[in-house]
Amino acid sequence: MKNFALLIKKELWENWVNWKTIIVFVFFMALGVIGTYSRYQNALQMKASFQSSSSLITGGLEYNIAAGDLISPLFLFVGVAVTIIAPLMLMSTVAHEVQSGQAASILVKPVRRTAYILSKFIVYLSIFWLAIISSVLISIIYANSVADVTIDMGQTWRCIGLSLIFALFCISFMLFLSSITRNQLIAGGIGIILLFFMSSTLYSPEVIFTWMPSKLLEWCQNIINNYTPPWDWAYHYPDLGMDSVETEKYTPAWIAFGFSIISSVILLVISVMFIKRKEL
Amino acid sequence: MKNKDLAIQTIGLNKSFGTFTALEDLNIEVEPNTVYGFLGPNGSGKTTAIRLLTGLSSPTKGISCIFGYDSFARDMKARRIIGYLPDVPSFFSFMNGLQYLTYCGELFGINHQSAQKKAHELIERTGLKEATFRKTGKYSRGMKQRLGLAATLVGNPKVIFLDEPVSALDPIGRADVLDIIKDLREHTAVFLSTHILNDVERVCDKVGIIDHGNLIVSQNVKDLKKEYAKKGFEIKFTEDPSVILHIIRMQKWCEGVSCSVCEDNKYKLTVNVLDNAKAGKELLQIITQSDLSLVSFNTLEISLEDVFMRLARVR
Repeated sequence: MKNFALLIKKELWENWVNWKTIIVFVFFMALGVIGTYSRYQNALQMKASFQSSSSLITGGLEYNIAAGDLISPLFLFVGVAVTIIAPLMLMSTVAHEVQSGQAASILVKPVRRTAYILSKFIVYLSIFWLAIISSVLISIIYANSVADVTIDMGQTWRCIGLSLIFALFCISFMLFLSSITRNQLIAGGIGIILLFFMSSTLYSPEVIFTWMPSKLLEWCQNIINNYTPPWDWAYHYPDLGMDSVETEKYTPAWIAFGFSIISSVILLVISVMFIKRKEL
Repeated sequence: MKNKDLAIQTIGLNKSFGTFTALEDLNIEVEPNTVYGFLGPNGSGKTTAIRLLTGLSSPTKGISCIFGYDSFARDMKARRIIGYLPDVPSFFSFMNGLQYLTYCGELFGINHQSAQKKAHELIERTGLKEATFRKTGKYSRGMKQRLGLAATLVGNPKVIFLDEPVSALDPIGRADVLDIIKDLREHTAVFLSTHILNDVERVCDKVGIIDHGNLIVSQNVKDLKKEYAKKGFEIKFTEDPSVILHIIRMQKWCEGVSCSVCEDNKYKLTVNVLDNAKAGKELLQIITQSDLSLVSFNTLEISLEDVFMRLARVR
């Protein structure tokens, strides 16, 4: 257990010294502020154009900026950012250490290979989770300071939870790639391509993509925008039929939710098994 | 049978990579407080053997034990008592030398203060004092080899595996490291893989010669040299000794004789014999009767290199 703590210390130390932790936090917090700011500017323009047209109507109508207007895209931005930053950060974590002999120098000591992988997993997961939470919280603080909006924290925490599960999948996936590949460039290349493909399936209505972890980000949009599907654990997407008439369709969200968690665990277990058998 | 009294023991150790057999039926026994030289040409299987012994690689067949503990076992009892210096040591470049050694000490269960104290001692011992606070990423190859040796010793191991430990060192550094290895013998068994035969002769008690994954020989350096020693004499004269050549050739103990001119214009007679004692006595009589001026009279010396070359050629 003491050695596990030492491995975690080493990972935290390395990520701090190499500026990785700081870069991730600054990036995600900037995303929180800039994303909300741009959405707020859009909302102001909408409000201005709405009010100028409604002034023609007797009595006038008022446009109120909703919380969803300001923070709903943030979860999308955060998700896409994770799919880009996670491969860059994790591609070398095992592959490079194995290739350079650093892993051998540690694993020849009384250190379990399971602890070696889990320490990396815990540290990267913590960094990404804290960065995502910070990003959302700073976005809420900023949204409250510029606009008089009421943010439902229950909904927000549900969305944060879904984003964290999405990040969990991305990290497990990259750790898996870094463990099974021989060099970091292969791990990074495959990771970026596959995670980018996953992001590209956002909003695609094909049933074949229902299980994709990226669907969790769509679910976040639904929650923040107060779409209420007819049953729990579902999200909606507008479907333009043959006659271009928009109809509401609902997809069971538990498929993507369950897949993300189960596949993360499986990927982590395979990574550990692979490292245990690896010739160092 | 596993023997807990042996520092290192392998029983029928095999390692294959697909159809290629890197190591075949390796049987080694190394007693505690011994320096065991593991010799072999490049690609002979030395590093593969060390990786199996240190648990970094798993055998295809066979057992490798450190004081009776399986090297690849999950309980890691073997790993608590071993140290390993790879041929090209690699460190975490964000740590300095002191931090790295302290961290390694902590991984062996030593508390931070004691690990740091031990790290300072080892830095001094390996001649890295000036680079104590320098990031390991900025170390030269020789310094890395010294730091690697220090990291190997930080956990007070009972068995140390050194893979080409002096390959990147200058002559002074090499002498220093070999002195450290000699000193280690008091408390530790050292498994030294190298192809520098002079180093083996200088520090090793026992030697194993491996070629193409097969252990050719494993025995004490003295016994090995004795077994493979050529019997004979090397005699130098100021004049041409051709006159006595036919007399020597006629002796029963003579296996062969040759004459050559040395760089210092002296004549060298090399006599291979069956019995050193008898031949020595009679050779001196022949020389005395011949009136030749004798410069030197030596028995033939065999080096480990001669033995190695002879064994390698036989294969």
